[in-house]
Amino acid sequence: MRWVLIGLAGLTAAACGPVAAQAAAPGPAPAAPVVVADPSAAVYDPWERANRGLYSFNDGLDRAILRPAALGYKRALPRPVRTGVRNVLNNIAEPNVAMNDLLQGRVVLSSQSAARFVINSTVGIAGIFDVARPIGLPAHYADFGQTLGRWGVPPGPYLFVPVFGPSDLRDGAGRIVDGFASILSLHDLHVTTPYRVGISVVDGVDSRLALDSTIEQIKHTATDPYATERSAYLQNRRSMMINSKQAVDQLPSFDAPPAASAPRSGGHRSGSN
Amino acid sequence: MRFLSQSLVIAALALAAGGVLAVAPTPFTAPAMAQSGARNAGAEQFVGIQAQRALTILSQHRGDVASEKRLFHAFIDQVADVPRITYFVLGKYSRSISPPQQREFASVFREYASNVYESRLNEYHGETLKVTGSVARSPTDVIVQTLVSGGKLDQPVAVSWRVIAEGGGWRVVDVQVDGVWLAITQQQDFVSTIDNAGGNVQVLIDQLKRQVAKDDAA
Repeated sequence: MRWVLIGLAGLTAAACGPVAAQAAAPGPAPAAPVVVADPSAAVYDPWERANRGLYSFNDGLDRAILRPAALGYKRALPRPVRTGVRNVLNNIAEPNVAMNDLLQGRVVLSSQSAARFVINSTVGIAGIFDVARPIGLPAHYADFGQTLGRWGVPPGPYLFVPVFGPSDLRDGAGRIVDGFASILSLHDLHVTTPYRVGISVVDGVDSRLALDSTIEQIKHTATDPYATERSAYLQNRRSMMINSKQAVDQLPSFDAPPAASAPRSGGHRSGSN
Repeated sequence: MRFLSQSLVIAALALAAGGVLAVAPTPFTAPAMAQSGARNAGAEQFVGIQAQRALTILSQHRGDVASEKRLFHAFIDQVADVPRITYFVLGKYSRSISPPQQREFASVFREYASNVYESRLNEYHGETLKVTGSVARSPTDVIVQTLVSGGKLDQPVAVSWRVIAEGGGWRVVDVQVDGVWLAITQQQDFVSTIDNAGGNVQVLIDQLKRQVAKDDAA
């Protein structure tokens, strides 16, 4: 919880200036494409030292508890049951998706999401079966961090949060709002606190299981797993917030490497050079 | 936690296993009016043809691991611009690396990358790929958009291919899945490793050598 508060405070401080500026002048996209010569310029990790500490702490936690729990869950339940559980969890999150679609001005997507919720909650028996997908209402994803990004809020400093994984100030703040939204919708369903905790635990275990092959692959192949996960997270989130033309314009050149800057004197400094 | 699905694997896989058959690259044709933002038919055709070849080969099963590996290396040389990628993944350190170190790095990076992709060859389950469009950064630098579907995928996955034209043919330099570019991620991984070694490229080279030795022993 403390992380989240730090995130909120920092977000307010770090983001308000640029956001206000962007909000004041929406207008058309600038004519000249912004070319970011060095993709790692998009990596802003001023708290890298602390983040790396949390990363290794999480690694120990993961080996001792999180991964064994995920693999135990996999052994205990057959795939169709796990799929049903995942569907129920996604269905609980669906109102939040619809709300965020709306906040992003995506009315069609929002109504699709709302329709999915109604159909899957009833015909799909409390969300166990995703009956909406085969009838042309595929699942999509939206969260409040994404909404903030589409409103022009920059990601702010990168954060690694134990158990939750890679994040940044904006997405960390978004996660709290998503959390409250989930509590509210479960409250409407008269779900008591112990059950809410249970739902969160199952959600975490199932999410960890879904990422297992990716995480193991990164741990096995990356020379710096921390930097690799950070890079992948930031690129993935960024891709949700800009259109394909902007994305293409901002790619690094393959032929002109960024200017050499002084390497670190030692230890872990920032990765943003 | 939805980032990085299994699809990352499939993209790399498609690139990797793509052309176990060696083929002449598609002739490069840049229309005079091609400009930033426009589609590029030549690049789209190149990706479509190479992907189709990849999927055909992936669906066949061979027993001989050593010959698969040889064919795989030949394919990489054919379809991917290995020298350009090798230079790119060093980021700012590509400027300062010495020629002998450059050769050493190129050799070990090639082994390392091949091992990574080869380990994924058996993860293909009948997915198919369709070219959906392209966006040109310039007439010789194009992002081709594709949709991978079928197999074990619940929903189609968008995969983008960055292709660069030079010397009469297109070559793949990067692949994007779920918004994540493989070569860019690789660059940030390597540059961070070198940064943390105080700028010493040899530390990265030695680490990659250990990794390759371990993989080859396994």
